Amino acid sequence: MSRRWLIALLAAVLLQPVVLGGLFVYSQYPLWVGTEVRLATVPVDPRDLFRGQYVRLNYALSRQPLPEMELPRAGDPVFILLRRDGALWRSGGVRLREPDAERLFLRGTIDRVSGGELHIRYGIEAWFAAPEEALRLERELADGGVARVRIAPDGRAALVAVEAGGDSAP
Amino acid sequence: MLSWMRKNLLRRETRRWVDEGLVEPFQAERILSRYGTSLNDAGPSALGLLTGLAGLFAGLALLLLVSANWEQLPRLARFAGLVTLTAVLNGWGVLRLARVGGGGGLLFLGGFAYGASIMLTGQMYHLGEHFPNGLLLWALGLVPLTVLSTGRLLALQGLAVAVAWMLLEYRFAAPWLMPLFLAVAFWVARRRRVAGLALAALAATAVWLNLMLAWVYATDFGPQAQEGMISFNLGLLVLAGALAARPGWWNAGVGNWMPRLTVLAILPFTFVDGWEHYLAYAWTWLDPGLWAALVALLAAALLGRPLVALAVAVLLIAVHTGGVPDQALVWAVAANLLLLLLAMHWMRRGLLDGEGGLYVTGLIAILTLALLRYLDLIGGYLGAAGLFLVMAALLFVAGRYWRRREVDS
Repeated sequence: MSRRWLIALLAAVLLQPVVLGGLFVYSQYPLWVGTEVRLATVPVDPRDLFRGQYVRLNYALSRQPLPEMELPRAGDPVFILLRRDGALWRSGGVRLREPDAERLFLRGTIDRVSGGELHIRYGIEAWFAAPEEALRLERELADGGVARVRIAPDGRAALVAVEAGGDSAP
Repeated sequence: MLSWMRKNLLRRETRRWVDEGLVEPFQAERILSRYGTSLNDAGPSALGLLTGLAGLFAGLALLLLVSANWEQLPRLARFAGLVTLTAVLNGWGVLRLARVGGGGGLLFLGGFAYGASIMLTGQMYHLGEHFPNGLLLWALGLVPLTVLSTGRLLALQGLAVAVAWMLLEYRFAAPWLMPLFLAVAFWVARRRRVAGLALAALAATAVWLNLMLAWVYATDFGPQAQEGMISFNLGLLVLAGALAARPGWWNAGVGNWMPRLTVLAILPFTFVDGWEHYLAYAWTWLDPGLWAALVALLAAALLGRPLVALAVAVLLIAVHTGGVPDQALVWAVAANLLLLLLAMHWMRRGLLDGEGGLYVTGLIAILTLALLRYLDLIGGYLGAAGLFLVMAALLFVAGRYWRRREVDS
């Protein structure tokens, strides 16, 4: 057994913690540098075979009108400009190209285009919780809740909390 | 080449002859060497298989523990614990590999711990985004360790995770990275001579090729399954047959499955409805499925099945250029007779070679054909009766012919 092979093997073992560390930093980044906004949401409760129980969150922002003079396709990135409306933040326009950094915007991916609307995923549609907690959230927030989200300058968002909110139906 | 199970039976029987003094040990060795085994070879043991399954169950338990999302431990502590567990299991596995050449089970468990860590990160940060990416990270992280350790269980785990990723990802994008995982699985299968892994990798390759073809047919609504994929899979079936007929450590796995795969491939064509759809939608020369099938058939011809490949190529070209739905009944009757002839051939070979599985496959294919044609009444009552009479005549003539050959020999 050669020394070089052993070193390569140890490097292969070390690769896995390095990947996990990278994933950790990637996931933590919006929470470190992001601006906090509150988005109206309605939860439903499925189970993910890979990651366990979670509350799926529907947002008003998840469906947006087709931008004019554009031909969006499923899988394309999409950017939603945000405008403040009282305590909540709502859509202030849809772009297929990344807006200027001065404006707060959410980066998403077009899931599908149907009925004259874009169906968009932002990566903030799942709130993982223990099974009982997931059911409790679904029950308490059935009429709508608020998702506290931090948005990094590049538009990537991370969920901070899901809580009850008064006029929050999406 | 005999399968490992038959070799074991032969070894056991030969040892008994030696014990009873029917043959001398050197004669027994000479007999066994004809079949690639020896009196001193160890018999098959369920230990490896059961240990692997135990590892699988332990790994699934770990994934469920993470899924349970239990709140008694802070998530960061759970994450640190899982990363440490991954490093310890892999480190221990590598140590055993370096010292005694073992450690495959530990690396297998380490792979599960790594996957569970990715899963926990997704859970901690509520990553709702595109979760096939988590599976991709899992499969990619296993690649270097699998290549360097050539661990069979680790290779199987990597292939299973990669296949799960491929099946979830293809609706969003063509899974271009799959050849990397397939190459790793084939490489380990070849290095360690694991027919089961080679078979799994071949099956995964066939699925991947189908998904890529679905992307060739893609519209704005994503990948599409089209009738041309039937043509392609017929080409793949002939290619698999050519591979199974070649001598090699891996072909036992493929060879056993070939008649069953052939039955599954031909059965849909024994229905008139199936042909009507296929003939209506197979797109002339422009069909990518036809061209993909011709490439597969060319490979099959080069691998030693030129006649079958040529016959199927001519058939596909005829269907794609001159086929119209009105011919469906004729094509369906031809498919029924083809399946009957193949089934009779398998039964005969099964009897002659003592291959029980082959005999049963042939028998079940004929009985299934009888049941289906009795129920769907191909060509109406009189048409179905005519088909049954033709099939009965074929069976009778074949039986008489074989009997005469047996008497002659």
